[in-house]
Amino acid sequence: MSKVPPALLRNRAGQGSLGILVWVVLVVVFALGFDDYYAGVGSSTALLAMLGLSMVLVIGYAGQFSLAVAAFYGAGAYGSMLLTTKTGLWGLLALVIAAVVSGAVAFAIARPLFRLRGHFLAMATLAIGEIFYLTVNNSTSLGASSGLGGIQSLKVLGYTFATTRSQFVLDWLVVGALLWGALQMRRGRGGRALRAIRGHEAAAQAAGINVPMAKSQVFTVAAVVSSLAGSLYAHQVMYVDPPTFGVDVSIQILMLAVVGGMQTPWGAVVGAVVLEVLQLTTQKVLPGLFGDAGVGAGQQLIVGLILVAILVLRPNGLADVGRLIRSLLDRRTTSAAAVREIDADGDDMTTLRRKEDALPPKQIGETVLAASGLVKRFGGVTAVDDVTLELHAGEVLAVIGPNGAGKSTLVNLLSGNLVPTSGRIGISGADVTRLQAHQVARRGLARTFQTPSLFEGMSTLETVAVGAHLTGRVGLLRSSLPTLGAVREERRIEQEARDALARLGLEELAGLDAKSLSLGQQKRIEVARALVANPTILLLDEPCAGLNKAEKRELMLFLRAIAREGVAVLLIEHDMEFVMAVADRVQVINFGATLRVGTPAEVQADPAVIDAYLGVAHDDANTEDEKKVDA
Amino acid sequence: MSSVMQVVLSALALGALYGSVGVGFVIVYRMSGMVNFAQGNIAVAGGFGAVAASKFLPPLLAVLAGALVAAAVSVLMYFLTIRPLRGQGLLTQTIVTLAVGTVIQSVLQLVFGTAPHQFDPITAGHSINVLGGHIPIESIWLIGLSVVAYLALAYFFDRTMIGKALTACAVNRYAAGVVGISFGAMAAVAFALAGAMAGGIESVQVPTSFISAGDGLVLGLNGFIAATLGGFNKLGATMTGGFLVALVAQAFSRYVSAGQATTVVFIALVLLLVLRPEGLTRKVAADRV
Repeated sequence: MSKVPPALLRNRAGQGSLGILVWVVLVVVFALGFDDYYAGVGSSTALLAMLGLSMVLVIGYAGQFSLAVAAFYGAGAYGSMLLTTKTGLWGLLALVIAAVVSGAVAFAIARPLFRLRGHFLAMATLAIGEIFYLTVNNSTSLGASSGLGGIQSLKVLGYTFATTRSQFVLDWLVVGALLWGALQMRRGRGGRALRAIRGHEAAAQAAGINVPMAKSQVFTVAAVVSSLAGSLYAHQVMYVDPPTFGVDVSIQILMLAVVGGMQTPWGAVVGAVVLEVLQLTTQKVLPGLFGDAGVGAGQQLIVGLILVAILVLRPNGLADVGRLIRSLLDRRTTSAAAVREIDADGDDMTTLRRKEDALPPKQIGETVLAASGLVKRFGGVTAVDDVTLELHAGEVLAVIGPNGAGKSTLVNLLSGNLVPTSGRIGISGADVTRLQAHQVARRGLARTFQTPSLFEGMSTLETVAVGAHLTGRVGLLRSSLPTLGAVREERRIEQEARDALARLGLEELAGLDAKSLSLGQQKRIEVARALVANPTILLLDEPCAGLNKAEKRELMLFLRAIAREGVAVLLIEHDMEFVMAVADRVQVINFGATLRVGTPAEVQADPAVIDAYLGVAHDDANTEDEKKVDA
Repeated sequence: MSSVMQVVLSALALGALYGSVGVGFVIVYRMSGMVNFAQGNIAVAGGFGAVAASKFLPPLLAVLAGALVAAAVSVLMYFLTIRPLRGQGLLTQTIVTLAVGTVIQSVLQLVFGTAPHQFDPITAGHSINVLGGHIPIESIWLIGLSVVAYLALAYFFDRTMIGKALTACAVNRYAAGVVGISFGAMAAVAFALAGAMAGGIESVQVPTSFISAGDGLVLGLNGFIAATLGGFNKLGATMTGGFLVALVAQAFSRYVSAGQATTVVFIALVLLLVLRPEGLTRKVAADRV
């Protein structure tokens, strides 16, 4: 891959500019072909598509169920209306100011708002929409329920967008630009971070993504897009009133985005066109069925019914059909390679370790991770009770203990996914006890999860690339509008992700949907995702679950190898053969507290450990003793 | 004094309605983990069922018909839309409830038009004077019936076999399945109860105020606030929550500004969700924050 990128890049850029050319030509052709009526319909379709796009960013990319879109749509429209009519500002400047204000408000309310999830976020944003509607509707200075007028057509660089045809062209070019940006964003580091948040928030955070910040940023971008659509609406309809920006408009936009498909920005465009065509058709048919008065409700009914039907039958929307076909093709071409089995013959792990020990001794460095007196209580349950541990650069430390001993909680505390009730955690001397997971990740700690925590709808390569988040700097805006530097960074991240995959023997799986793979493969993808961050500390929560014997052997050698490179490895595992082969030291935990720390041999010989956990070995020892007695 | 009493009395009546809609939210949420955004519209459908039935039935029976209509709509919604989507995420399920809400509202609008409707009160007569405040007899019916319905539901969940089965499903669907409780049947019962409670009480209030097809959203939002105050878990706290919402709205509209009362309630909702998602209960709501 590393040899082709320039060609690939040129190819992609070529496709991109061809796409842009086709889009522009289509827009002009449609504009020339349409009469005034259809150009007007087309313009309002474009505005719907913009709003749909803003929703795709927040719901489709970041997975945050926000219904505030109509409020920012209204803010843009009322902003442009007031600024141009009351202060005589240029339309373009008013549009920018309205968008900046909308964005600022969105950013300010995002932090507290996005502490909420799912239904509760939906309800809160719905309430915000209703608050906006009621406030405008009750405010006489905003024209109350009768609305405001008096705005002129938008004038840019001396050209006035006065005819519906020119507005059609403007709107659809804006849609094209936003669509292009959204597609770029999806591919880049910023969009990847958002999709990782949607897929698995804890894993995204552990990869170093500042989740609250990313949510706030995408909410802000969406608000700016909605506000822009609102300003265009005001300039084109020349009149604004509250119902245009009511809560049911948000719901309508949600519906069109769902109908089109939330996973891709194309969904917003498809959805807007489908919705508009439906409304045009129903406008002709409905008066005959319900009488003229029934048209509005009848339209709503039909759109609602179609939405329900689409949701029940095709929950991923219409635009997803293409992806479905592509994924079927992908599977056919790569599945043969994907089942590549690692050679099952060979030495057992103990022998391998003996061979590895025969190599020149590796350097155990200074303490990189130190925890002292860690306690975590959940209500009345003490999951971790006064655990102290030290992890040195270049060593493999295994934490073992019976089920429910508090091992996973311990890892969650160390990685910052949980905050300890008391105790202290330090990384290379700095106190990280109270830091959040993404801040801990910034200090060189990477981790895997007990149950594979991959991201829905992302390929293996993309999933691993999320792990490289902290090695990059391109933000949401530069992802949408890639500069040369952004393209170069993206290429480097892709290469590093491929290298990490190769190191774990997963390179053939790069293009496949990560969540569709076997448990063992998913576990190894997690290791690759952690590795690509170049961590100094690697925490692995039961990495062997779901791995076959050969895979375990490879993983064991792999961990020994990266420890030799100076990485400090801490792992939790139940497979004792694996633990004793891979570890330099073993720490035994029982009932939340440390029972014993020592080399594998010391721990295996400790009667207290044998009683608490390794019972089987104790029996073996007895039978061996008996044998000796017999002899 | 009398004005305070008036506010309290009005809030009791309105709060009984909000609380009942909120109880509908809670029953469905406890059972399936989803918030039914069509809850308000289902209640309004019940109200219109009562309006239609009042043409040939006495008001009390019309109210009963309203409860049955809302229960039927709710159960139908479950089998047609929620059950087929049970493999999908909560996001999809929630969107479908929003869509169902729109469908219900537009059907009502097509059948009954946008104009407000009303029917005769259950017992005729003037308002009663309680400690200086006036309360219509219909509102006493409203409060009384909502309390009776609440007590019946509490009894049902705590004391009857089906009620316990329902609670079992809510706590652990898998374990309930192992001991032979059908989740589908229990979910249908939950949707029926949620619909009946919200629709029945909404029907009782139609004679004192009007009902129109577009009432669902605001009714649903208010019921949602009540449910939030009840931690989306406790029926009693939800009824109390309904009263508190109504009290805030009534007091604000009486003493500050009638026009802005609803706005204030919704601002309170956003603040409540962000600052105290566990509502009046002490349960830690980890999934909300």
